[in-house]
Amino acid sequence: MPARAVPSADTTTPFRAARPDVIDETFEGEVTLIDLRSGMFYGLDAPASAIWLQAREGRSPAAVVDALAGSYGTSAEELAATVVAFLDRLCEEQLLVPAETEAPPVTLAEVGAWADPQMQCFSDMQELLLLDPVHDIELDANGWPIPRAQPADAGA
Amino acid sequence: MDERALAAFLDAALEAHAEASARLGTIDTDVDLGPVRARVRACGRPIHDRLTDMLVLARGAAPAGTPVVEIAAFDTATSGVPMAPPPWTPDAYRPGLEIEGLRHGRFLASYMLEFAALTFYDRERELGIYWALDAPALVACQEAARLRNVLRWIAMDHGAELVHAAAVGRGEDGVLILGAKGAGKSTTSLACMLEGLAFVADDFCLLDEVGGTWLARALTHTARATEGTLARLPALRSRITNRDAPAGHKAEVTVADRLADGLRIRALTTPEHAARTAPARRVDRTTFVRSVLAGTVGVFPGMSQETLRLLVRLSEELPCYVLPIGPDLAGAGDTVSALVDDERAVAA
Repeated sequence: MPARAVPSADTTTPFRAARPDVIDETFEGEVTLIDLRSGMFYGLDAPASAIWLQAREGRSPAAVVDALAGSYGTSAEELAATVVAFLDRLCEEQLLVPAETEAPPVTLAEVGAWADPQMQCFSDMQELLLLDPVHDIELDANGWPIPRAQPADAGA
Repeated sequence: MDERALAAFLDAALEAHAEASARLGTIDTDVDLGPVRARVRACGRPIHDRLTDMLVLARGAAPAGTPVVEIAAFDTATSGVPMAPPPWTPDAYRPGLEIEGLRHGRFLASYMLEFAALTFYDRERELGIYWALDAPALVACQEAARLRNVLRWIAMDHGAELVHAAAVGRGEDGVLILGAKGAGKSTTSLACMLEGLAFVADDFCLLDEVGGTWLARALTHTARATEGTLARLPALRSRITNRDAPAGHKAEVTVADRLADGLRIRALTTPEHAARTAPARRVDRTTFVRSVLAGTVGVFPGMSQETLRLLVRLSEELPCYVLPIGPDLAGAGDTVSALVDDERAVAA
């Protein structure tokens, strides 16, 4: 099995949000992410949100670092290790996946002061989303899944 | 997924519906979804009854210019007409009723494995299909709920929403009650109804922006109650309509006599289990959204990004509160009434 691409191993390959399984919305300057596959949702603080918003449309780690350095008025060297490590984490959570093409940079609104990015993880949705798992289905003659026959004494 | 194959599948499904219609006739039922009307074209009584028995039906002709979106419904057991084979593979079925590749984009679908029932919608042609293998075997209370998937997609494409929330209020003003399964939406809203408040829904309702105000409207004239809710609110027992339901199904209680035409939503709320009922407590929107996220987004199949966006927008436009509700539910109606009065005064 090929190793999964990680930003720290190749900072020139673009990554993007794992749509449509991952959805996001920004409010109060912070991003909330939901992974509809796992039922996990994530609360990103402002620096983490800035990284996500730069990366989600398909950008290489190097380009994300450059864009953030411009937004925060600091050097790329100063941010690189922290930003790439956070991108690695987003990939580990499968929130980012490799992209085919590089998207243009995003202009962020006021970003405030830089700090190490923080991401809170919540599992509240897992029970809701993982109900009724689909496996081992039985098909009728036309190819439609049908309820499995109940044992003869079921419901007796 | 190949759009041409999906379009061809819809054509084949519509041909099957036409054949079923030729054999059984068609019963049309209209449901208003705010700016759009849905018309369920059901072949035969069993699927008609199971899909529409609990829906609040449209009254009279739709206002001029109102779009009407058709949902062709039939079942194989009653009509003898098989459904066209699915154009997707057996591994496409996902937890939560969704079908891989049909959760966003032009075509949307959901499949209820428990009853072999398909909902399929073409957003471009604005045509829906509801097919079940065996309509008489469907449990009415669940099937009425399952039609809500396609009703939600239709509503969303016309600027309205179907949200996983209860809605109760006073006069023409009310609150949405959000929260995950088990949070107390039904129990709180039904307690409010029994205390005389205006009632729209206990579990999901239509939400439509009209003249800068969010208007909540009922989609069904029943609510669902667990045995625990019935024990706390015994007055509901006389309203049960599905006493012959199989074991394990929730009680369906009629609320038809108490339904408000609509409520202007003044606040977002979520119940909180408390030692005793207390006045509503204002909370910041970040805390609120994250506390109700699990019960609001991803609950219905498809278009989850749009639902998340709506939740965030609602939290921008409406104040957010926690409703501390005590175990005996006494005073729940007073808590909501006071909140509605306060927010109505603010709005004025």
